[in-house]
Amino acid sequence: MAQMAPVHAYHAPATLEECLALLERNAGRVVVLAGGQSILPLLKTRGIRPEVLLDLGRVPELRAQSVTVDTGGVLEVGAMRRHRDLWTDPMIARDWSALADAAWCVGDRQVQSRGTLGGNLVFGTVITDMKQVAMCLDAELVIVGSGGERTVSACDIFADPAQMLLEPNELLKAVRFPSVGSRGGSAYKKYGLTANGRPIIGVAARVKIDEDRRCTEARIVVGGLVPCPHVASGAAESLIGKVVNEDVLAAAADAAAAEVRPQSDGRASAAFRRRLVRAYTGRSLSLAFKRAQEGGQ
Amino acid sequence: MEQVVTVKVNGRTYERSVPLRMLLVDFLREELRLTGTHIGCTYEGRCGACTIALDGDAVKSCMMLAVQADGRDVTTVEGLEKLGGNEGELHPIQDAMSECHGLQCGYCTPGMMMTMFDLLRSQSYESESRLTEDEIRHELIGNLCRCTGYDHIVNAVRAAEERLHAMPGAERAALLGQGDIEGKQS
Repeated sequence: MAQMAPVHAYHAPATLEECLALLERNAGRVVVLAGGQSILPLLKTRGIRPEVLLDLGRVPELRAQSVTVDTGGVLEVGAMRRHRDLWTDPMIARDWSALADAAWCVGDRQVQSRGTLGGNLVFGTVITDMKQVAMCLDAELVIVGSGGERTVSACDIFADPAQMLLEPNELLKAVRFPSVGSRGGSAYKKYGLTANGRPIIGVAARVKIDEDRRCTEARIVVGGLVPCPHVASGAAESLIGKVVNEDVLAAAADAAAAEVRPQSDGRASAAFRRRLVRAYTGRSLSLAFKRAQEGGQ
Repeated sequence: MEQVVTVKVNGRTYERSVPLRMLLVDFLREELRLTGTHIGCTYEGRCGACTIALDGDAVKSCMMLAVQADGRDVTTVEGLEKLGGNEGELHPIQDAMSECHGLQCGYCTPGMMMTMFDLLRSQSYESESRLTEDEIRHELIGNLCRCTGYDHIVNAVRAAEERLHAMPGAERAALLGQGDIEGKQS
């Protein structure tokens, strides 16, 4: 038998209001469970010893998903949508491809059955997949507390390691992804030490092209770096106005590799990470352009 | 601290008081004595030997608490042969693993087969398309096998898929547990 630290109470309420009330009442001694795929290991090693567990798994509101057409097709995904719900959705795969790509390579099939978009974004590590994807797709995070809702931009919050995403009594409710637009495409590619591991390097790319297949917009966000994902703006700028071919892609990949400041640690050296940035920027961009040309949104 | 849970496991409903900190895998093995679900990596969530189907979806039972399974439908490896109404006969997945030599020591096998179960029940049998080798390998990355080198396991997935394609829809749905557990939300 696993010998986890004792827990005094486990709550799995059915409404967001109850969740917020429980958060407030148990401030300082509660840990929130989304999919639990990062929290369970910590409970087992007693790395965290909460008195109270608050499980968000039974709140239907947090699993909602909608597309608002009058704002140009904004996809709103409830924080408790599971990775598997995301990549198996044909609309997300077609129009928000980077999000589907990332959900497909977070952990493994079992982790994707339990793990959630919100959990991945909220859990306190920068070595993850969804943060760079949310930044690349210009996502907006909907945060709810007893005082009401507020929104923050993924780019603002995840590019600044000094900022906390949530106050102690707040929860992430949903994430809004604007449409990539016509003749746009996005992609995410990652490298992990094991196929189901956290990324050593993960690159999200989003591009738009015009009728003449010239690149009009590009964003590249490199994750796996500390202290935060890097927006490779030099690499993205090198694409603007160009018709994409192998040379243009290679130049952008070189630029991304040149502008990152990778760390060395027990998992990979800085030099290896830089090579990965070059390789995976190329792959991610190439797929994003292919999708833009195929007329995916 | 304990809490009462009602869990359906392999078609039978159990009501038990469980410690809040008890993992689902320990509940299955210690409480229900269903020891077909294995513990390979001492609860680290890395090996996949404890994989079960939760409302049909493959999950690692060491990566959730027993209380989280309250009201849910669990299928373990012991449940496979009960699907399809031919208890005592091997499930096509078990049969394919045996025929293709998809196991040697057998330690990873129950978890491997429950991931295969989820994978195969997620396929469409309307078209003639089949899982590619890359797809099969990608879907099995959460299950470690140290004996076979995986080739025979990939073959077993394909053999089981073929058999499921060849049979009438109702029989297939029963073998994939789609009569009972379809439509449930996680």
